[in-house]
Amino acid sequence: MREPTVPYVVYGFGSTHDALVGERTLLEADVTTVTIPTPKGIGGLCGISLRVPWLEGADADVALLRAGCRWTARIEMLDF
Amino acid sequence: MGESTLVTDRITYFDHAATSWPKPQPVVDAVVHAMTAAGGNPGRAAHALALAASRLILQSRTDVAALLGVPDSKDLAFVPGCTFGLNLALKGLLQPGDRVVVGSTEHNSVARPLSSLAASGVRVDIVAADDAGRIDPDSVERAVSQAPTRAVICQHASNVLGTIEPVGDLADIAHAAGALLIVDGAQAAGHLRLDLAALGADAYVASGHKGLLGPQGVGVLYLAPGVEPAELLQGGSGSDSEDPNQPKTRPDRYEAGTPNTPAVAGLGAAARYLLEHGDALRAEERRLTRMLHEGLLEIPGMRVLGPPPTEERVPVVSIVHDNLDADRIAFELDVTYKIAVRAGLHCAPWAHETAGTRQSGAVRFGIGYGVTAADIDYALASMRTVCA
Repeated sequence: MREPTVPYVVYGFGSTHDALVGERTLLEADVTTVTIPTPKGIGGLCGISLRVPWLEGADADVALLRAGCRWTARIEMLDF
Repeated sequence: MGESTLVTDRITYFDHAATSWPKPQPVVDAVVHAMTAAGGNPGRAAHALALAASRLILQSRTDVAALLGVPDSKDLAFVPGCTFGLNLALKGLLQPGDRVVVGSTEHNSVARPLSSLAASGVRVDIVAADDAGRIDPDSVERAVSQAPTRAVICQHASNVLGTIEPVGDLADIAHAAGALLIVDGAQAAGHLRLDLAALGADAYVASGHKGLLGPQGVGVLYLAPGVEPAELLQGGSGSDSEDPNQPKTRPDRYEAGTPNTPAVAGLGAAARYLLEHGDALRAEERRLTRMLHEGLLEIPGMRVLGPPPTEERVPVVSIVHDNLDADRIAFELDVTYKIAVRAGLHCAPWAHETAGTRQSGAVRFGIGYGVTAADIDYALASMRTVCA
């Protein structure tokens, strides 16, 4: 298993609607998530992104994909 | 200053077709909650108050979608009202040179945009309903077969006659001809159980403050997947801010500018109320509507517009009297009996033309949440006296 090298995964979305559906999906899947202002440089997205601990990133991916909740950006960040 | 008496304490309200009143208490509570505990600008920031507002919007959209039978709530846009939504659907989907087929009982919220579009080169062909307001699907089928048609436009139910139109059949006819179906659901939403995904309309617009029991200032625009009218407004959406163009994603494309969060929150609460109590409310509305309809028919000189009592209608009962003007009846009901009805043409001259009441107008009783059998008895007794 690869050791974590960065603490967070941040998901960006095309709209607030998608971001909050994503938040709801992750919370229902018991993935730790925090809504944050979309980090600069992530791209032209909605103003809300979801921050997930790196170790839960894979679970978050699965939960979002299963729910049909499409992110438009997924980046790994050292800090926010 | 002396003590005042609330006007609302003594009104018997029969103007639900214009706007429902009173509202269920959870609707009022939701509006107050939005203004006091979620007063940020939804989708415009990630701080707690903005997120609280954003979550209210999402919850409302989810619950309204559940009520209306919409599988993906992104296909619902919150708009300032039904008129706005109809203008968006009509002006966003129609181009000069297009032809539309429309029923003859439409409200001005459809008739006036079509008049404007006709001036810019849209051909508008009207299919006549019978004098009870019924649109014959065969007539629509003949009309769409005569020339290429971009859209069939029809109200789901008449705000004057109460008639329920066969919109499912019209969807099939429109689609077989390669046309869209655009539906004005102002008088149907809330009063009829809806499954928009199954109904087949390409665009369906509902008022939030009538049968849906929400506050004024919000309506709902449903667009079937793949139906993409041009937006009426461009502006802030909280997304893709660097792009000079309006985003194409739903619902942001159709919701430029700050939404009416308190009204949307109230509408969400209304949807939850109707999900729990809607079937019982609708059954009672049908019972009371028939009771009023049959009672009015017993008054000498009275004509009730629309279908007979044996035929299902939305809870709208409009009347004309042989010897009394509509405005006189409405005035007497108001000042003497504190009964609120609406007289005139009801913003629907086409419907009155169809019913033969363009000159006289009519008195409309609109039944809805809060109306009781005792109210119907009182209205009938009052009408017997006014019309004696």
